Amino acid sequence: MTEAGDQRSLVELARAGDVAAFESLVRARMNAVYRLDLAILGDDADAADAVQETFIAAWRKVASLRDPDRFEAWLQRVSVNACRMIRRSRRRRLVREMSMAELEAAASGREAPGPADGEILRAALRRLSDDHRAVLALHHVDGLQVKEIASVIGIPEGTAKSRLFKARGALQKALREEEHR
Amino acid sequence: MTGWTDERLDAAYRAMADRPVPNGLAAATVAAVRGAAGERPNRRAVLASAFGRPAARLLGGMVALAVVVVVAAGLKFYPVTGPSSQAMPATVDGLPVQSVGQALAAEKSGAIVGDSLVAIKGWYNPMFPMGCPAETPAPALLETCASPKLVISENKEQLVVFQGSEVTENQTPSGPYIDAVEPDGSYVGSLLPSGDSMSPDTYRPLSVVIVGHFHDVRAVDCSADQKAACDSAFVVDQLVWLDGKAFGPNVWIGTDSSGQTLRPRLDRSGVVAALASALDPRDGVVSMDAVGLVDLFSFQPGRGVSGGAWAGHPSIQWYVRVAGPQPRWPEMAFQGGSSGWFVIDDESGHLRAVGGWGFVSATDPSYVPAVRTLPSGDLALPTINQLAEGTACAGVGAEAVLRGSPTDPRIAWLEDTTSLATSQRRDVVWPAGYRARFSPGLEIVDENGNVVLRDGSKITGLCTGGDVPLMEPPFE
Repeated sequence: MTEAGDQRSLVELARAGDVAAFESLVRARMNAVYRLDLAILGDDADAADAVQETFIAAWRKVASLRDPDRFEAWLQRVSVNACRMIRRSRRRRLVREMSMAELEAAASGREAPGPADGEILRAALRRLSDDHRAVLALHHVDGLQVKEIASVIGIPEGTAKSRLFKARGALQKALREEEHR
Repeated sequence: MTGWTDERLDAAYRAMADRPVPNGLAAATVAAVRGAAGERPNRRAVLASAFGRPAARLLGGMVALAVVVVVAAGLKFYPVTGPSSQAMPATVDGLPVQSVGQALAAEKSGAIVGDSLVAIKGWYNPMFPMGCPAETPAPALLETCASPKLVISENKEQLVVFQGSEVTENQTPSGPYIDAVEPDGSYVGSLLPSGDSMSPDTYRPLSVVIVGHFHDVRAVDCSADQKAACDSAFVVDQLVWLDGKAFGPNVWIGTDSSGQTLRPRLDRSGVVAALASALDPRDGVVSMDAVGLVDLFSFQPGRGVSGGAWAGHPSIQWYVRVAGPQPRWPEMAFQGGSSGWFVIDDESGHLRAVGGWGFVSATDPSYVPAVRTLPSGDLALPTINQLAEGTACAGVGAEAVLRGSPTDPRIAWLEDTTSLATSQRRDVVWPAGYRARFSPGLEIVDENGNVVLRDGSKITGLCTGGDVPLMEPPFE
């Protein structure tokens, strides 16, 4: 049986209430979901929480999944919503994290090396809305194109296109600002 | 530095997100799913009220499953104050439930004393988190664009506007409303449902009762032009009732500096038991938060964050909010309102501090200690409250001797003996449970009944960080 066929079988079993089958899906999709959540939330602990929320919500709703072949896209949608809920439940702190190198440099008065791109991106993403972070993560991390993003988020393709465009613009602006901090 | 090309952006995303899944997350998630597999529809909410955080942050691996089972079973034995019926309560721990408009009018008229707790009913409206521009950091009490929205309105109305499947805006309520502030450590927001942008019906307003306070002590940190807004901000302390479901005291377990969930020794019943001798029968526990010292200071700023007397204590403290008369123990030398807070040391179960009960600031006329004779014949000493600044601690500082008078509202104080002192007298506050007696000379008695200081005792190493330092042993 193919990998896709394996997954389809597991999804069908899970839909019928087989928790062991769902556990196999959890293990198979864990990396992808964690990566997506980390890209949206930018925080390891929050991403871990979102992963749990994602799979618990998915378990509760899996019986309502009509097309088992759409499991991955459906799980991405559940994950994006879980990230939104996690963000909603956290008090946002407008604090810029400093690396140890920056702290040591500040203490010694010398100039610190610039933060890596990943850190600049993480800081820049904090300035973006949840929706913008989600479409950007789906595009850059999961490699989805506009049509697929629209399907995952459940919005018209035109809306997804304009949202991605605006998100990219907002991100470029935020990246420039973070670089010059 | 080159511009942000797609290639560079992709690489940055990989650097940020291509990280290994934390150890134990898969196992903990599987355990959580197994836990959900046999649950009743509302079980998740019960677990959330116990910990407020998903199991991933609590534990790794299979330990999570064990704890989930223990906690779920343990909840049966926890005492729960507050309403237990599913009907909307008319009172909460003796507090009358007011409408949003009534509460706002009472605050405006000055009828609400200090940070006394207030119970408010209204409509909770899930709001859509809209995008925000970068903002200048604001005081904790001031709502900003990026602040989570916890809107309680007088009128029942959906505030999120949809156009097709798209949310276009959040409307301002048509009548009186509160955009409540969630204090650090609060998880009330996580107990409330969020809307789902794909399901407009999830944004329907829900009937709710919350408990919180105006005149938060942190208003003193706000600038002059922000002071009024900070002072009138409503801070939510407890979710009491939501859409037909009653909640007991809200419990929140904080995290340490590395993000790991704290593992307090006491559970909810243990905290209540530790407080039992202090509480008046009319008191009700509103919320309890297990926090590290840093978070504790964010609850009660101005308590001396530089270590001092707190430095040697275990890091986990319980911050407990109580509605009702001020405590029977320690009897307080302050007159106040109808609510306050305790801090309990998790390791020892000892009361570390107590305060609140209506105080707003040092300039508030209610901030007046009074001579109060206790049943034992001893006199209550002003104890730590949110107005205390700095700590009397070992190290550098002034030198002083202890003085006192049974007719002085403060009973006991320090007289500076250094020649550089601009003022001879320095008022202080004392640990919870400390009291004074005159037999005939002044004696300071600790919470265990031991005489720890006498009139004329030398106090060395007084830190001079605040106007009203907290005295803590060792004193010499």
